Amino acid sequence: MKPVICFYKDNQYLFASEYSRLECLPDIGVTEFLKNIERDFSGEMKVVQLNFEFDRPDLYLGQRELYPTSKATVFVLKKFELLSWDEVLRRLGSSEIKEIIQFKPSVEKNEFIEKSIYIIEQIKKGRIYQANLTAALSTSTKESSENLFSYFQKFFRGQYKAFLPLSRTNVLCFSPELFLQQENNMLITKPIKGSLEQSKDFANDLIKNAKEDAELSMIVDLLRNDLNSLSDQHSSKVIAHREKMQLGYIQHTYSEISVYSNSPLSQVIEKTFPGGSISGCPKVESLKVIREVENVKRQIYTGSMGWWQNNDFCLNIAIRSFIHHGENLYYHAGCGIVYDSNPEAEWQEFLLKTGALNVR
Amino acid sequence: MKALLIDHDDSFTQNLKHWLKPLFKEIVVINHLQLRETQNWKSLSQQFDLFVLSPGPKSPEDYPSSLEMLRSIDDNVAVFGVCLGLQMMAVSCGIKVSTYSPPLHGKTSKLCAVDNSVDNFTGLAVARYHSIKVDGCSNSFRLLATSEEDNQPMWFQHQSKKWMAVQFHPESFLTEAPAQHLSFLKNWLQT
Repeated sequence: MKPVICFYKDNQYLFASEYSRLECLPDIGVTEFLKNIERDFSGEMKVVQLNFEFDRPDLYLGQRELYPTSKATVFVLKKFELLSWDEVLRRLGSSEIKEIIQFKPSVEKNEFIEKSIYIIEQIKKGRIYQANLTAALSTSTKESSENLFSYFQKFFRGQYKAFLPLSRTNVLCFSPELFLQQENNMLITKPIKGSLEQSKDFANDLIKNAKEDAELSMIVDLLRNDLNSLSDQHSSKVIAHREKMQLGYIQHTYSEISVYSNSPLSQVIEKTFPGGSISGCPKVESLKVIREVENVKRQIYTGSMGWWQNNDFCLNIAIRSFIHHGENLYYHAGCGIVYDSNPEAEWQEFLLKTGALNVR
Repeated sequence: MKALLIDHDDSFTQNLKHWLKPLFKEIVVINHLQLRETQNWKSLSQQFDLFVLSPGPKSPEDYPSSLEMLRSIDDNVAVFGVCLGLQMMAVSCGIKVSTYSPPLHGKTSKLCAVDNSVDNFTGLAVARYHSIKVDGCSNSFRLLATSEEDNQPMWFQHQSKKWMAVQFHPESFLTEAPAQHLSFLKNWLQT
């Protein structure tokens, strides 16, 4: 059995070789699936993975799938250890990769630019304020998922790393973005918006940029709204706004919003999924626009994964992630498109987010 | 007091609800489509002290039920409109809306009072999310404030009906002095 690896607390990682894997059946909703797990496995440590297309199949009609998946998977861990990252890599038992991995985007530059322009047209019409445009990259490889995980972790500094052996694919996740963390009756989210090459000046090129400011600010209002929907009594608060995150090859701005909450995960997910930072604003209309420009379902990408025990949980936004299916390896990247986006610059940002991947 | 908040498929409606919360014992949120079945506007308006029209995507014409509500209720029913809500009120009084370029989304402007009643709001930053503007305010409305940077109408009060409307977003975290805006709304409701 391949191990389940998932970020936990204090720079430690959950590592489990004994677990049962529960998958959401096609004919039941993800919310209901999570409620059943809350009922049957509340106190157990679990690792959860949720696809982007959440409980609203009408919003994703006509998009094809890149690989087979369930809507959601939960690993109930029978035994687990908390390990340092170095120990995780040692236990995973990988060897150096021999192939040169070279990714190819599924869209050409011109097509990406046309889609950006289409989104900007929708913004001018008043349909939306922002939408996140993404595309897949792919390659084929005979290397093992373990070897690929050990190889790619050198290039991605994300805090929310995971390795999940799903039933038909393996997920290699190096996400830097927190979606939902609930502990001690406090729920927080940390949306990332605004990206810049590492070599450029954070204060001048990102903080003083009005477009990047607005792009994050509207997502902060959206996430305040989603957290406010959890309770009438407790209002969400903006704890931090436009803070700096450095990831080696790229730097970002992020914010932090919190609300008093002890709601079960199923309820929190029902009110907040999919995450605002990777959909757009207003959310439902932006999801419709995304379906109009993206031909394939996002599936695992921009969904969420993380740990879950009782009403405590921590879930990331599944970006900077590889999906390994047979000999196919997929990676996705995307950008928030707003009215003053420059489509050419957004294509450069798309490439920037592929980091050290050899994109040709 | 009790308010009915009409949601226009927006992602800021819950923020509006939480901003309004100190004024009301209960705030009922319904989607604009739920108004379709309403026959007796009088009985609906008697249940609430204030109707609130939420912001939202697209144009006033895309929400016929909310426009129908504005046309059907009595003049003394209190209505507060935000962004799209303001545009709906304008359209229902025969004022045209048009595209505003460049659109302002997640950006702020400073208020500039035109009417003395809002003098103490001059210079305060307010959040804007709109790509449509109202073309003037005709004789139906009294203009209370404009935006300092681009001189657009930001705040209206109806001359004869109990309607108040803002083009900016009082519920946004980008808006300064949200409590001051709320207390202004409270005073207006009570007069």
